[in-house]
Amino acid sequence: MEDYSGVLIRSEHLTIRYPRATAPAVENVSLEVLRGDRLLLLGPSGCGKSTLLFAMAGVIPAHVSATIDGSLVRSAGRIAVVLQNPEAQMIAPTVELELAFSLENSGLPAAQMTERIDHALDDFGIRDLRHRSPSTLSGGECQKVSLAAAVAGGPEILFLDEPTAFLDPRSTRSFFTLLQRVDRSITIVMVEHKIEFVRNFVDRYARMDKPNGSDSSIVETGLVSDSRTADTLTPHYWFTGFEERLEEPRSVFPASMSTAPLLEIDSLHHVYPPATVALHDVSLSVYPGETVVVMGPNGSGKSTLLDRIAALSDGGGKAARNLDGMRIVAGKRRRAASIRIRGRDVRRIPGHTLYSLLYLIPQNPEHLFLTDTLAEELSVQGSDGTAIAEVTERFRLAGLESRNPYSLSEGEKRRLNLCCAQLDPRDLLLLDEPTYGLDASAIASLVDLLVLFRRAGRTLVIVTHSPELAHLVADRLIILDRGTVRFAGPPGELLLSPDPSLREFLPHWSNVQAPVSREEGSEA
Amino acid sequence: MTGLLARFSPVAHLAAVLAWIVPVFLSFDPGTPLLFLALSVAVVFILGQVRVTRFAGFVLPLLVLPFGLFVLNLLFTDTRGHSGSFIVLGLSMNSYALHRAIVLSLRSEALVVISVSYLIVVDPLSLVNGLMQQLGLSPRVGFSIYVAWNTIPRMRTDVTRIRSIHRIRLRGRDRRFADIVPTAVTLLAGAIRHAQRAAISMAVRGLDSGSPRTYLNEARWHSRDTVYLLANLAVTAGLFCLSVGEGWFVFGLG
Repeated sequence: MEDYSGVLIRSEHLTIRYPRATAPAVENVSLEVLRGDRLLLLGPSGCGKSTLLFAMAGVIPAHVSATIDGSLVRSAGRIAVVLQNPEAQMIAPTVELELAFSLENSGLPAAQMTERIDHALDDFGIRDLRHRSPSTLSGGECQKVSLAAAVAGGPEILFLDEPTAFLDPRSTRSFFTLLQRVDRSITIVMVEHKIEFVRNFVDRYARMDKPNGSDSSIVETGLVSDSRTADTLTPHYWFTGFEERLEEPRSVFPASMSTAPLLEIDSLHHVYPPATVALHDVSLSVYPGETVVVMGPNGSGKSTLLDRIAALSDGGGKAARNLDGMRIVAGKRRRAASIRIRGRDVRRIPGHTLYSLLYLIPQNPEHLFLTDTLAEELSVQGSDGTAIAEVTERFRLAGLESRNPYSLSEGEKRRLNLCCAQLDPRDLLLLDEPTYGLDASAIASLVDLLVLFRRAGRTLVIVTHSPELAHLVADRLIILDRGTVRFAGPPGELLLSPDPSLREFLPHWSNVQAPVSREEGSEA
Repeated sequence: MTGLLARFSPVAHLAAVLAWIVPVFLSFDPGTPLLFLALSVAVVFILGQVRVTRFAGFVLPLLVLPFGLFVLNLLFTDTRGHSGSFIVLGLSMNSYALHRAIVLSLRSEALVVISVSYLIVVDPLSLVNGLMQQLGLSPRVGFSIYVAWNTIPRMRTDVTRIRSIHRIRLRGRDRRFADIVPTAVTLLAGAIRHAQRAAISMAVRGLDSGSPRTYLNEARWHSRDTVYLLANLAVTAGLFCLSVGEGWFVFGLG
């Protein structure tokens, strides 16, 4: 523990209420943040962690309307906030100007700004991004830039609101490694669900919850070093019951199958102009009733693979640019790639036939929405009232029928997407990053629904970054890296794999996924 | 900006271009628009050093507007009280309608060319930077423009993606016009949320702190900008005087 020399934030009996909300978002919270603190706010989704963080940062009520009762005193002057969504906090036209933004706002002379920016670019290893436009950065790069920009401003307190929610495991690990480099003199308050990464970084935690249905408040605080906190800071805490889910019987494909594959991909290549190889000689068969999960770091070609299956890219004038299986790979001519569903080439099936065979749930759940209410969304496919009532009950959407789909929570939007897919069953269901932006409890809820799909014999191809989801629902796991297949087999085989580079695809309960250590962070 | 124009402030060039537009907008004769059209083309090629093919690529598709105005005015002008006529390809045309069609199409053509000649040489982000530092545009507005600019490529991709996903959901049925509203709503919902987050991001990073703002890339107004602007105003006044002196200039708005 560090030697604290003062209280930077003190809240006493703090209650925060949003306009038109029936219950307060946060009730009767008393908490102190000390100088040099590294404090974690944790708790289930919707318990008011981000609200409390924003109030401490002064965002509420200055920029987000809410009423605050009780006392909240902040003695720190300079603050910085890193938000959840990496893209949304990029403001300036270049990375350099992004780092300069808060320095410009504080009136720093240009020469000093350059010095600080140089320092931050070097500290966070992003000098090569200096003149890039933020719109060309990956999510992980955006968050590195956001962190560098926040620290470049020389804050006394840094607030982080689930900064890795939209990042894949590799980028998350990289982000926490960078976070270790932040000077200890900067106090850090963060909301984060990825306990396995954060527990080696923070000193103290405050757990929020709604005990017995009461209003949300802090129910427990403690030191991370205290052995009695082990249960609270275990990832299992947020993923209860995973052992039972793992016991679900899995099918072994293709050995147990006597039928032909539903989906066959043969020697697939994809190149984005001018010469970025997204997929390289990918071959894969998916059998009826099978659940195949595709994992891999950002840019490994996962989403491109789904797009190709759904015939959303390629074709027409773009085909030549895709160099589809003909001209790449050290100049060798290869046989033309093919993607077949029920033995028919997807490029040659008319749209209405192809899309009677497959359904795609996109990464952004709102992209599927067509109407103004949840009830209308569920009626789009012409399902009868009984079927709709049954699925809304099963997918825990009952009572929300009159709500606008855009007003639902992220977890509810995902469940609505699955509801629509359930009401319009097709041979093949493709899911692109269904856990994107969801917290651990929402992921757990989603896993249960996907298990239902698997039990019902639906054929699923799921692209995800979540090792937990993959290991709980997959019959077969495919790991892509730089467009090539690095692993293909049942999830259990991955647990036994001696290849250390595959560790990031293991779930937290495997106990072999080395979290970021303080030493690793300080050395890096 | 491009070529020799890069030496000058985009704000100075904007003021010059606005000065060219005023006489064109007020004229109802073929000579005045042609003079300023020629001036803008000369500036874009000589000072801006823009390639002809690039310029043509921008301008030619937009010429459909003046052409449309020409046809509309030729065919549908109220010619009561104007009896002069002539024959073209066996069709009787009214002389007044032809004059009006030529004047209005040339005026719109000049406005198109002048606008394109500005847009093609100016980096929009430098312009916003110049407007914030030299004309006192609010940084909140300026940085909001940056955010919108960063969002445009994403929105373009989103439109295509949303329509494809709707098509899959509707079993290959392409609803075309019926899909415009749901697509727009989805885009708008995303854009509003993005704007809210960006506004919070700006606020927590001190945009509204009230202290005097400095800039990493200072865009100072130099004496050469003043000279450039004054020279342009002088040329504009000279061309306008030429048009009036030669009896070309006729005032008219419609």
